[in-house]
Amino acid sequence: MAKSLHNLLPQEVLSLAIAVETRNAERYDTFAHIFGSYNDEATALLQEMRDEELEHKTVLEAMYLNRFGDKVCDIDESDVDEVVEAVDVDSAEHLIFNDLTKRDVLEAALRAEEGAREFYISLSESEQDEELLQLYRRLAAYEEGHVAGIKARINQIGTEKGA
Amino acid sequence: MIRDTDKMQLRVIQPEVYPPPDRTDLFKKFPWLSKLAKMRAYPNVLVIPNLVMFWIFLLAGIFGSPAGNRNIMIVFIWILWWFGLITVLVPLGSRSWCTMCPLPFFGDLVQRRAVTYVRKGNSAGTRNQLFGKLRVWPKKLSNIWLQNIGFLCLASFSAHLVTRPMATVLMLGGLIVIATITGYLYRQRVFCNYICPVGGFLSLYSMTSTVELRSRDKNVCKKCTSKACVAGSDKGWGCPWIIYMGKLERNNYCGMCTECVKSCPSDNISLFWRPFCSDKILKGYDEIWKAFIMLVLAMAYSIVLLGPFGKIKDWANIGEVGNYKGFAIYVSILWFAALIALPAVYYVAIRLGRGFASKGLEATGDGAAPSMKDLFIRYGYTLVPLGLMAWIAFSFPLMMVSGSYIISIISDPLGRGWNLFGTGEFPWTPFHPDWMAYIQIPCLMFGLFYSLKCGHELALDLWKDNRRAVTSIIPLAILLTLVTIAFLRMYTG
Repeated sequence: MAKSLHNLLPQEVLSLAIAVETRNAERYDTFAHIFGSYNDEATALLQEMRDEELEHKTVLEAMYLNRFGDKVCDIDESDVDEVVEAVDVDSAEHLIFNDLTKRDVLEAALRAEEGAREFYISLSESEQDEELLQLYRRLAAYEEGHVAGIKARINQIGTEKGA
Repeated sequence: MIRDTDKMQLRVIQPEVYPPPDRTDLFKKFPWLSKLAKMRAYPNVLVIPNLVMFWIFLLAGIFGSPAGNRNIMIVFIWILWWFGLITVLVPLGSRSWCTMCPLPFFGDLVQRRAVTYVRKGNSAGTRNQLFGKLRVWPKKLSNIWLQNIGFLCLASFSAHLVTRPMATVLMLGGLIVIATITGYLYRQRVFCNYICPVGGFLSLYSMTSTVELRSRDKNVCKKCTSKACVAGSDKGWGCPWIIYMGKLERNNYCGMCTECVKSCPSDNISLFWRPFCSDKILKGYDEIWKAFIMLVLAMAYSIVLLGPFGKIKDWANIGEVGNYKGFAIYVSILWFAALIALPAVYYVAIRLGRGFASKGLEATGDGAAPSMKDLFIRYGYTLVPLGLMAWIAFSFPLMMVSGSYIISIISDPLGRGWNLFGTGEFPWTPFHPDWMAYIQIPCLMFGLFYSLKCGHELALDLWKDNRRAVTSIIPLAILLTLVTIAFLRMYTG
């Protein structure tokens, strides 16, 4: 039975964040596989984003270890009702028209990272516990860094032909 | 611990549960439908009998009577199949013809080396084992322009096709060869997506259909890591139409093969009943030109096959009359009307509407008017309901006047004087031709009503202001009404 995010423990929230990064890495990998050979540039970018998600996961795992020790908290996206951050392409017909661009990939990544940032900001707004508040703010700032990074990349490719 | 949950406003993505209130989940309502769709034998239980019929028709076309009305191929394909397709299957079943179409069967067989069995593997971006060259279709041809031109070519020879069995044999035989070759050379259903001339108009008019295959909960698709609908799994092939169900919003390119129903690990795909004309987004010039072509052809067919214009009939019927100059004039007019004249008149109507609606826009600070490109493409949908209903209005007389051939041809499929079921001597009996206008007029009015209704909805979406929206579509509404009047005059004399 899936829970609402409202009812999660902080330890579960951080575990969920790690699971989300893992699952997003899998999603990027799946999309890279699907779009492989349709568009080399977009596929390479999808693989790059997958690797970035795995890096995010490593950072969050270190954060978890530091905050909660090595006590495993077994929670996954499937245990919650809401979607926190899930990277998704914006059209069902990208393969038909063979029109997935680097910009599309980055915008998909941006939507997912913004979703995650909003999620942590929301949690921090209602948190009373100072230590937890700091944790959520740190996570929100961490996601904000990703958002800024992706926005910079979108701006960078803005003038590239075929981007 | 998270506390005070009542005060929390989590700004996460909210659930996007399908269906909206105007949809009915047919798999929930009729569980046997879901079971059928999940069977590995489906849709081949439909395709294989169709394939057998197809070969019988081809043989009948080759060895049977060269007279169209004495050959089962012509009568069944150009009267029965066409009528069933345009009046029932498309409006009520979307691209359900594509589900059972025999043309891509051998192409699929070459690619899958299986009829019902699913091969797990890793090829062509899927988790299935596919065979053949598996090339990617050229990006420049990844649209429906080939289908547009192909259909226009076939339509140019329609008078010949519907009267000469051998012409139809060559056309259908050619299509099955192309489908097989492209199945070997390219990945997935390249033939269906980009080449099949029938697929092009099915794509357009399936937007009006009252059924759709969609995911029940878009969040389940977002969370899904396997994307098995498009990538495939051990339960089903990756979508042969290369559609990702998680974002599917229109019927155009869904062949309803139900592989996604089989492969989805969350049982999240269902068949929904929905209101007529639910999909309203045309996305490119290729799609809107398909709408122009289909509307012009509905008019041209009505003139050639139903109208009283003997001279034009002779021009179109190159095979029997052999008037090459007349045929060249006919084809030139047809292509000019479909590719240039109607688009030009439509453009003028859109331009005028934009001009009227955007008067004073900057002064009131309401922002800029939608671009001409947006208006041109988005308003193109108004040609779809009217076009479909014009085709339906055209097709009823075909069935009512010539439908009785079906009864006699069943007993004498090759036109050799057989009487297999005792109906071989059934005389040609038009069915109440006096009723035709009473069917055609409501059809056309229904089409016009939906065109205007959808036009208004699209205009509101683009202009965000009812007065401007209505003003912007007035010239287009006048154009659509004039087209409807032209059809009415054609049908009612």
